[in-house]
Order: sequence, then C-alpha cells, then structure tokens
Amino acid sequence: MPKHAHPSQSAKDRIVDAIDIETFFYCKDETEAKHLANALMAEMNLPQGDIVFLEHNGLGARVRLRSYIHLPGDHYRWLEGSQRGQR
Amino acid sequence: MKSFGFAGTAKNTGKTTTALAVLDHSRQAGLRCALTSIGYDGESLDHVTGLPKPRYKLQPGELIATARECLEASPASCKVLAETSVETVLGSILIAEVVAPGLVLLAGPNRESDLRLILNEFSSLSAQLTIVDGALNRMVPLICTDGLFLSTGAAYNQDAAQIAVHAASLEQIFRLPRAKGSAPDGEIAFQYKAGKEHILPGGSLISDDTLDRISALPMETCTEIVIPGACQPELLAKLIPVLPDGVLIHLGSPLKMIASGNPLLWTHVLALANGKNIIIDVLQTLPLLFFTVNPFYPQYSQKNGTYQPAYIDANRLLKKMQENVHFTPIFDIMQPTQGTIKSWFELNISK
Amino acid sequence: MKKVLLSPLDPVHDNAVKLIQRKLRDRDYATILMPPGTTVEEIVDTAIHEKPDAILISRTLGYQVAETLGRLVDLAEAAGIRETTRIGVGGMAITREVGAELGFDATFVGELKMTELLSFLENRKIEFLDGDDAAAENQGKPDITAGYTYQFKDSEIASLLDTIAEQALHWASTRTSDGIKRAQVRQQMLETDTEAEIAQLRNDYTKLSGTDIHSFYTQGTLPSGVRWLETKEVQNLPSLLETKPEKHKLRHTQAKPLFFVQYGTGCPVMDIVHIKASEAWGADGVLHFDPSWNAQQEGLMEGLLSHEHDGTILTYENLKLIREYIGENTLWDVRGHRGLNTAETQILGHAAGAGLFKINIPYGSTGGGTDPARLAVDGIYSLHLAAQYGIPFDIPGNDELSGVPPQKTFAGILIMMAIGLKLGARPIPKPLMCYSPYMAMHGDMDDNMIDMNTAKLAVWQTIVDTPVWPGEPIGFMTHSPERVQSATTTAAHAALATSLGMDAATIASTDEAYSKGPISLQARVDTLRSVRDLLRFTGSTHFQATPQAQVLMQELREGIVNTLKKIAQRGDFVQSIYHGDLGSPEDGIYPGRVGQGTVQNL
Repeated sequence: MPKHAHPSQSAKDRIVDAIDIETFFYCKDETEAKHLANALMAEMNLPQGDIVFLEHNGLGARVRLRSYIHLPGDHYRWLEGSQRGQR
Repeated sequence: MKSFGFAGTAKNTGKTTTALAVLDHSRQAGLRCALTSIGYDGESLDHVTGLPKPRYKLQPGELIATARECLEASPASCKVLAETSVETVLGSILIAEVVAPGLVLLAGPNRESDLRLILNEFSSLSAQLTIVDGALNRMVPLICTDGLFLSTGAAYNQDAAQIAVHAASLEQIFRLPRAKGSAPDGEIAFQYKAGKEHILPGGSLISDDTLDRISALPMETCTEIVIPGACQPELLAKLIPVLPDGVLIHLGSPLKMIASGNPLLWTHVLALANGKNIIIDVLQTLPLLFFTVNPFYPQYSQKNGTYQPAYIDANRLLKKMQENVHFTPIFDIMQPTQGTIKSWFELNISK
Repeated sequence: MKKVLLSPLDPVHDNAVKLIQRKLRDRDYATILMPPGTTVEEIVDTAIHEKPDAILISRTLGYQVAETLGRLVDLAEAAGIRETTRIGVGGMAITREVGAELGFDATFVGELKMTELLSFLENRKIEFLDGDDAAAENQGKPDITAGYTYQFKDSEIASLLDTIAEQALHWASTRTSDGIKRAQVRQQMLETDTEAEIAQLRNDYTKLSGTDIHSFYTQGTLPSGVRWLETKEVQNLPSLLETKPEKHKLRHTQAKPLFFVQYGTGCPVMDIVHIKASEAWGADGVLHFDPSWNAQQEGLMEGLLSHEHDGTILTYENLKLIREYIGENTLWDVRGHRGLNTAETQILGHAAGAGLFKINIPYGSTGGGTDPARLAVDGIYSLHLAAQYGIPFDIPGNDELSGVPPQKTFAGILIMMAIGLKLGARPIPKPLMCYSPYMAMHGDMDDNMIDMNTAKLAVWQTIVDTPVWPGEPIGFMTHSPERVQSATTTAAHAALATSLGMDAATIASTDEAYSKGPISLQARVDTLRSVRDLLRFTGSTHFQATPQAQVLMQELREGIVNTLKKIAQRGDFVQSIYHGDLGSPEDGIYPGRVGQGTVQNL
C-alpha cells in the first residue's frame, strides 16, 4: 500500500468529490430508465445518487449518474489520510 | 362514504405514516377503503436523504385511483374498473381494485374538481373510507374531503416551540366560522349599507394593484367584503386599518388562506381584525381532525456524506404542542400512545 | 387564438421562456412574458386578469424548486384559475415525478421539443411540425451518387487512369481464384430452392475452402471464440421495435453529409441494438465490419454465429438477421476488401439487402494484408458485380494510417474509380480526414487541421465530378480514450466535412481509441450528440482555410499525377502495388501475403 494511503480508507474515500457513471440502459421508456438508474446506484451503494442526464429514445436511454462522495464543507476523507509533505 | 385528506407542514413530518395508521384502523373496523393522492407517492427511498419512506400497501378489495403509468409499475395486482377523463403527467387516472396485496404507486388528481370526480367514483363503487394523500406545499384541493389530518414536527423546524406556535396558527385558521348564506361567483364583492354592491373582477387579493383598487373604493359604509379566492395576509393586514369597525370579511377557505400566506401572518391579521371587531369567516371549510407530531428529522452528516435519522425531544415537543394547540387532538405518531389514535378513530369514524 | 403566459420562476434566467415565446409567436399564439424575478403571486395575479389558456413556467435552479413551484400551483388553485388555465413546467431540475407531486398539468424535461409543447397547448397529439425533417424521412433511402456525372475535369489524370484501368481489367480478365469460384457457387446456392441441389453445391463449396472452413462444413467445428446463436437469443429482438424512436437529425441547415457509423461487435444481436440506437440518435447509415481472421480464411461459414472478439462474422444468416432490423431508410454498407472472400462478401451482402460495398484493392492488399494479385482478381470481379447489381462501391483511403502519403492513397482510389467506371459501376472515393504519420512527420498539420483536410477533400472536385465520403472514421488518429476529447474532435471534423459539402462521412464513437473491449453504446450516442450540437453551432457558416490549403491542394494534385505516371509507365497495376508505387516500405506499408500464389489462370 502506498505510504500516503490511510489503512482504513477505501478507494471511494479517495474520490475528491463525485463519481459519475456513464452508461446506456435497455428500457422501454424514461420511467423505466429512471427506475433502473436509481436501482443501479442503490446496488452499487452510492450515496446521494442523482441522475444528471437521461435521454430515452427508441430502445433505451443514455444516462449519466452522479453520486457525491464528498461535498464542499464535508470532512474530506481523502485529506484525512494524507500526511504533510506527501500527496 | 367519508374521505379524509392527509397533509404535512413539510416533508418527513409523518403524513404517510399517519395515513397508514388510519388505513389500518379502517381495515380493522371492516371499512372498505379507497386511496388516492393529490401528489405523487412512489419512492421507497427519499431521493434527497436516501432514507426509507413508508409506502402504501393495499389489500384485496381496496380501491385505488392512480395514473396509468403508476398502476402499471405498482407491485400490487389490480383490476382496472374504469378510466377517468382526468389526465396527469403520468397518464390518465384509472380506478382499480386490488386483487392481490402489494405496494402501490400513487399519482392522482391535482385539482379540486378532479378530486371530486374521483371521490364520486369511489362512492359509486361502495368505498366507505377514502384516504387522500397530500402533496408538498399543496392543500387547496383537499377542501372537498370531510376532514384533514395535519402532520408536523422536527422536519419542519427543530425548535419545538416554533413548531407549536405554527400549529396553533393553523388551528386558529381552521377554527374560523363558516359564512352563512351562499357565496358569490368568484369575484371580490363589497356590500354597503342601503343594499349597494360593488364587484371587482378577479376573486383574489394577491397584488398591490388589487389592494389599491380596493382602497380607492369608499369604505365608510362598507358592511361586508367577500374575497373568495386567494388572499395574501400581508395585503389584508394593510386593508384592515382602513375598514370600518365591525365589517364582515368572508374568505375562501382555510386551505386557501394557508396557500396564500404564512399562518403566523394570519394570526397577526386575525388579531388586527379582532381589535376592530371585524369578523373573518370562510365560505368553505373542513374540520382539522387532529395533529400528529413527529420528533424525527433527517440530519446531514458531513463526516459520512449521508443523512441519518435524528430526533428532538419528543416529550418536549408534545408538551409544547399541548400548551399552544387547545382544541385539536395531538398524537405523537412514533410513541405507543398511537393507541389513542385508535380510540379517536373508534369514537369518530367507526360509529 | 390561444394565449400563453410565460414566466421564468427564476431570479436571473429567462432564455428558455424567451425562446418559447418566439416560437409560439411564429405560430400565431398570443403571449405574455413575465421577467426574471417574478413572484408566484405576480404570475397568478396576471393570470387572473389575462385569463391565458396556459401558463408555462421555467425554472433552472435547484434550491427550493419544489417548494416554490408547489406554492404556485396551490395559489393558482386558490385563485380559481385551474379550471380554465393549464399549467406546465420545464427546466433542468424538473422531472415528471416532481411535476406529478406538485400538481402540474405537464412537465417538459430536457431539451425543448416543440411538438411536445404544442401538443400540450392544443391538447392533442402533434407529431410533426411544418418544415420538419419528418417529411424527409418518408422520401426513401438516399442515393449518395445521385446527380454526379463522373466526368473527369482533369484531362491529364483522366488519361493516365484510362491507361492504368484498361491494363488492370485486361490483366484480370484472364485470371480467377478459388474466391471467385466460391462466390459463383454461393450465388447458385442462394438462387436454388432444392435442398439436394444446395447440399451438392455446398459440397463443391467445401472443396474450394481452406482447412478451417472445410472442418466447419464437414465436422461442424467452430473456430475458437465462435458459437452458435440460439433461437431464444434472437426471439426477443422484435421487442426492440415496440417503441418508435424520435429520430434525431444530425444536420442542422445543410442537406449533407449523410452520417455513417461502423458496427461489428462480434454478435449480430448486439449489433442490432447498436444499430437501432445509432439510428435513433441520427445515423443515416451503418457499415458492417467482419473479423480479420474471417476474411483471411478461404471460405465463409453459414448460420447465426456470434464471435467474442471484434468484427461480426460474415454469414448470410447474420447479415439477413441484421438487415431485418435496419431501418427502412438506413443505408447499409458491407466491407469486402480484406482477405480472400471479397466476391462472396459482395454476393452475400447484396442478397441480404446491402446497398453499398466497400472495397479498395491497393489498401486491402497492403494495410489489409491480402496478396495484391489475389485481391486484384477478386476485387475486379466484385466491381463487375457492383455494376451488375447497380449498387455503388465506396473506396476507403485508410492506408494513410500506415504512413502512406495522401497523394499515393488518392492515386489508388482514383484507379479504383476508373476501373469501376469502365465496368459501369458507381464509385465513391473516401479520402481519410486524419492526423496520419505522414502529416505528423511533414508538419502539414502543425498549425491547424483545417488546411490539409480542406485540400484533401476539395481536390476531388477539381479532378472529377464525384460524390466524396470521408471516412473511416473522420478524425482518425486525433482521438484519445477520453470521452469529451474524442467526441469533440469527431464533431470538429464533421463540421468541416459539412462545410466542404461532403456527401457522406463516417464517424467514430468515443471508444475509437479504446482497444481493450468492444465499442459501448454510450460511446456511440455521445459522438452523435456531439456532432449534432456542433453542426447546430456552425449552421450555414463555412470554415475559412488559409491560402496554404490551395498550396496543399496543388501539391496533392502533382503528387497524384506523379504516382499515376509511374504506374502507367510500369504498365502493370498489380506489380505497382508490389513495388510500392501506391505505398512502399519507406512509407510504412508492405504488400500483403494472405492468398499469395492462389491466383489461377483461366
């Protein structure tokens, strides 16, 4: 493990702010696409998930999902693991 | 058939939990229940907090009025009895009967006239008790129900005293007397001594322009004012000082008053009116049946980046409510005293 | 005349409602526009007095959205206007569920669709607007070559090509290959109904095939990584067509180019999904890519086959299945210039319904790895077929990617054109818009990528009256695996191609530079959206190349002439390929070896 990594940190903790998922769902309409998007974020255990972009057309939907791991003002777990002089 | 509206002063105050309790008691009383909403209820998790939300689970024989897309997505198995002419953004509203138990997604009529139509449909299908789930920041259509259950709590304000003062203002509004006689047809009207009448087009007082036009009218001999639509309390507060003592003011309904402005401002207006012996009543009303209070609120944790359940002192909240709200029963939805909802129900509904 | 009240329930932003107001006024609606910062009370009060048929609200901010909008609807109800005035809302924060919760009569999510808006205002379904592209949808499949005479404008080049093409045709007329023979057998198999006859023909076919294909037909052995598709995998496909897509148009003001995408995931079922999505997001045509190994075997397999690596296996059944789902007006191109099955590919493609055939003998027999003599024999036979079938053939210039200078590539393309024209076929040259090794080394794109690409595309009309179709894909070697960069560079090249009046263009996905897996659907959609938006941005404007473009065009022409002179002097088209006249080891390219020594004399 790199020197600067905190032993208890997960990779998710090292995300500075947000994680985006770019994908395409096979679904019949926008409603189903939203349901799948929310379900996917729950399955992936992503907090405060949001659908940034969703466009359904024909057989499926292009989606961009976002989950904020750290919001401005939070205690940044990625900062907690760092030590002075190291990144 | 009886129908009841369920509203909350904010999200997460326990509106649905209260409705579920009443639904449960209704079933125990052997009543055939029906369910609809003036908003949307379908998420299992709150999309902001990520915390679980209570859902409606219906039993066979119960009726539902919901948008087509919601019915198709509902886990409960339902038989469509009728398609109404009421349209929503999620499709036309269908009347259905539950054939196999399960959760349902609700999106119902959003106007008073459409809600009346749905309630009539339920009544014609022998429903005995209808639950009308409310919506965020909207209550006016619920006027056509037989009573209102109002939920409040820490999700509205974490200061128990402020919750209670707000609730007291709401109670005051709902206790306004009902106007005698029939209402004119949607216009602002002024009655004067010697039988004269003046009509102002548009039935609402929500702009300075309308206030100016009213203020330009001769007020010395005015005996009665009807404002059947919306009425901003701030504007009425400016009008009252120029009105003669003892004038009778008829407003639309308690729900229209709440839609028009902060209940705390209405308390100020009613005090102003009282000081001039001005009587304010309402053309339509419905009883505020009880308050539920909920000490829960979603607390954001910066450390975790998530929302967690948090609670204010439940006993203090109940105490403050009881000190301020004098005429309306109050129940803490989370405490075992929920048993008293049952008593209330048996006393007021089952009979 | 209907009256609409428009208001931004937003302190600053009002562009959406202003735009809607303009569009509604164009359609004779009376409109009232409220300014930013309008309160809920002001909207309702105005509606009380103006009595509009509808109120349209736009709101872009997220904070307190729901509370404000809910208050508006409740106040409207309190004021009694909901019985006569319908209320719709649109904006980035709005979803249909939010709209339902807040009591709106309509929600407009995402990009403004006038048909949706008008349907709401008129309270009836409106599918098309006047001047819409829907009318174009019903005009049938476009013909890229329509209106072109193929008259040569450059007499020197025309003369050289005539000499070279005559020689090539004469050379090919006395030669054949097992590839041609198999193609002829396949043709007969497709034309007969009798099982016994088919079995006999298959037997003949097998004898002309290589070891692996022979094993396939005699023992049922499948190559590694190939499996049969089961019926149940295919039977759910019709559900793809249940929801009719709203076909996006990539072009904004221009009628050209048509945009093609390439497919070849390995599985025809996945291909179909990709094709349908590409069509929905605006693709006008699709190109079939087969696996390299498939082309390099003597013989093709039969049946519905799925392949776990890049390229979808060429079988009649795979092509038929794909064709079943390609849109009626979508152009379909099948690649045939790699390997030993060129003529049969042409036959299968045509039988399955393909309307375009991709072939370039010089490129296929160098960068494509096939022996030049073999590909010349098979390829010229295929051009006979193209003429016979009446379908155009397109000639890619991807040899530039190996380092071949564009003048040589273009010379090769011109030779293919000349051969095809002599046979009565209709060629479409495909100069490659790319940042090739030659460009990198010679600095012709150091300053900008517009001058060189302009020269490469514009030079064609100075030589011959022909359609031009840059690909495959445009912007080759400018893409990185980063999604936004990749989409941007494709869109920029598409805009330039549009500006230059190109007839068609093949575009990449944003996975173009990602080599560790198949192209994803989101990668396709992203590029299509990017192209559409940049063409919207550029509209009817044109790129202004610098005077350097003219210099480069002149140099190109001179280079083409010099290359053609060399080939004409050698007097042997095929030998010219072997000797590097159309791309040499110094350029970075070598003659192919697959099929070496398999040409037979008639």
